[in-house]
Amino acid sequence: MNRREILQRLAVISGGMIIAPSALTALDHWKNPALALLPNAEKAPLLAEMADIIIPTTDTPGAKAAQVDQYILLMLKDCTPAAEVAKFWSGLQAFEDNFQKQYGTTFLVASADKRLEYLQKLDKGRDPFFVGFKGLAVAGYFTSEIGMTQAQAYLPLPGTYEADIPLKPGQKSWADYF
Amino acid sequence: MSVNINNVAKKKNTYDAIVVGSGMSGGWAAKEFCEKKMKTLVLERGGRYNHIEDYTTSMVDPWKFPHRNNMTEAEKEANPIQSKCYAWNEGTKHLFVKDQEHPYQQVKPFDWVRGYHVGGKSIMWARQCYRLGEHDFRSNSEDGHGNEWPIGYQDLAPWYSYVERFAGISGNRDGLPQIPDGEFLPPMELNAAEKHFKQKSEARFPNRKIIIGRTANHTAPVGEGRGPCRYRHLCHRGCPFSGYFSSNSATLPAAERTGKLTLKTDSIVHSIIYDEKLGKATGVRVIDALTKETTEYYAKVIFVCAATLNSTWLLLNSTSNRFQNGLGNDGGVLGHYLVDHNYRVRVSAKLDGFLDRFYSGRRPNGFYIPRFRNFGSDKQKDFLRGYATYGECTRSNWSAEATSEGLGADFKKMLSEPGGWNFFAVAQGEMLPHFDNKVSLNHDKKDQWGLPTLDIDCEWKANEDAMVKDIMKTLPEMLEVAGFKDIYAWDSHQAPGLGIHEMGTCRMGKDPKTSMLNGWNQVHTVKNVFVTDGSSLPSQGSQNPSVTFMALTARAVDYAMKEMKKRNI
Repeated sequence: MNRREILQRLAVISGGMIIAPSALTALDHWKNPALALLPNAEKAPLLAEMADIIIPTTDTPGAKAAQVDQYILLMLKDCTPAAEVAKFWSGLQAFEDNFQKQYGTTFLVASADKRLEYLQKLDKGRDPFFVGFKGLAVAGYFTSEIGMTQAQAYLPLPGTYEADIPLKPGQKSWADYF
Repeated sequence: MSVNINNVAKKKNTYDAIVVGSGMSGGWAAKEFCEKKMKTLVLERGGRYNHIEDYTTSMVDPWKFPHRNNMTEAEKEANPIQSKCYAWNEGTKHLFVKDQEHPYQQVKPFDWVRGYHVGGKSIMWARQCYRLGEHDFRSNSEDGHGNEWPIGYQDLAPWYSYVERFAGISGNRDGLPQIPDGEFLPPMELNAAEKHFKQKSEARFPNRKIIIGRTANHTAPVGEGRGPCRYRHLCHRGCPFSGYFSSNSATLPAAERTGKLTLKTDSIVHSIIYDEKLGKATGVRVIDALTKETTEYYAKVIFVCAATLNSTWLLLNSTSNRFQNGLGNDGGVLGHYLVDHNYRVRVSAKLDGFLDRFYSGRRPNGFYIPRFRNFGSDKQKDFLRGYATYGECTRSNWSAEATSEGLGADFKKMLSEPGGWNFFAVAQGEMLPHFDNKVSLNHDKKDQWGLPTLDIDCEWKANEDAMVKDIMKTLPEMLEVAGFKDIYAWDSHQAPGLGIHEMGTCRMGKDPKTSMLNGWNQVHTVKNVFVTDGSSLPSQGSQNPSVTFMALTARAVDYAMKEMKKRNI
């Protein structure tokens, strides 16, 4: 959604109340960080494939389309304590090494069946690295534009509050944010 | 010649009233004085923050924030105190001070959360509004902690009504003496799980009332085009619909409309000028936060509304031959009896069932359980006073099951659908006023303007600890009778300060030897100086306090005007 669309939406919802355009200048302040420059950016394809098995494309786009790999790299760079970051990368290395040992090939070139089998085993065994990765991937997906507006119901301007209503069939979670 | 120039300069810098601070209390003082045709100067230490046009994050979609509104490690490290505030995130962090720029000393752990800009914390506040009850004005006298209040509920009741009508408070008339009913906009509603909790818990514990919160979110339009609330619940970023009360949305614009308001930003008040011959204050010395130049401003009456600890800092720093320990501080109580609400206990739980019930919109409000301990027939032997509780029930989303077992389409579908009902609540306990919970000036540690900084020496004591134990028993037993499961109650052990309900340190009272202010928030010994923010409270009650600051301020302005007419000021 661009600035003009937001202004229009505001005008509709607010009954034509004039809002100074400068209120929206901040929208232009945030540009995506230079993603290619993120540490370990070469791991992005691997992270994307892993995440896409957890959250595949269905009737809505999946983790890869939502660029969950970039989210994970950014969270590791800026929003994760150093000790946990180190643990993540050594965990990923072990993940790759074990895959190689088990299947004699790398995760990225292996068949979809082998990848799924491997992840299912880690998931059922509650492998700490994989469970941590899963938490990051799920958060990355459901806080992305795709995750909020397609996988969940996004209400940017509810207008009213209805406290106690019947759940409609097929109703998705409200995309909650603060 | 120089005398002439000085006179011209002095006249230019002379107003009828000076208000220090533009937040919750200062905004009200400005509005009331301006509407009474007083030429009013409001001094704000922070920068400009214009209503709507400066709410630069208010319409930003959540995925557009660089870190999806998460805090970075670097920012947390640079701001170890402010980042503890629940409202601090990428969309609001510009509203909080930078810790390094505004140092203070924690003699004991105390998290001092501040917002230095026009409107102060009235932009980021939690908006809950409850009147103090009759008992709150008597508790100090009855149990001997703190001093006797110089006023009672009846003194403040009309002023609560006065400020509520203008501010626009949503609430239900519940008829509870703990939190007297006010002038309310329509109430919001409890959702399915909350109604169930209310019904079951009240059946077993009839004196523990569960009501819809009372909030300064406008459920109907108010005043000159404010609201209604659009139920986005992004209030902390500033509301472009003026959907809740703030200085910026309400009181400052009202003051502005009179043509009587002068608002100066980046103006740090260094001290109040006391004239010994006249026996009153004549003005204030102000340091320009940017250029560090000093200017004096003069007025007939001065209202100190800088927020609790900064108001007390200002009086402590206003020394003269007559007042060597701070303006009006003959009794040595200035800086003492600091309190904050005790928010240590959190409770979470889950509720089975009601899966066919949902809600729509984001309610900027929750349920509220007013004080029931040591009230009416309830008497506790382990602690004095009581606590209120705020909380809400919501249906869980992806975050509850993010790491659960499962992969692929079914897992994704499960995460996309509303999960079961969750309960979360936090109690807010009244803290007893103690002389040795205090602040003082530290002249060895100066800030970037060469001003002394505050030493804050405050801790929870035995009564707070005993109350924590009780909360951890009562809330779970209410949840149990209502059939909730996975009930967890825990003590966060968070330090005082983080409740951001700091009060006391410049208290009202009848006796000038044991209090700073009389029952009109007027400094006992300097009749044209009033302090009307949280610092003035002899005790805090268990209620969210802002509406009390508003009422005290409006009442004090009314009194000051009458006293000026009588030439007593």
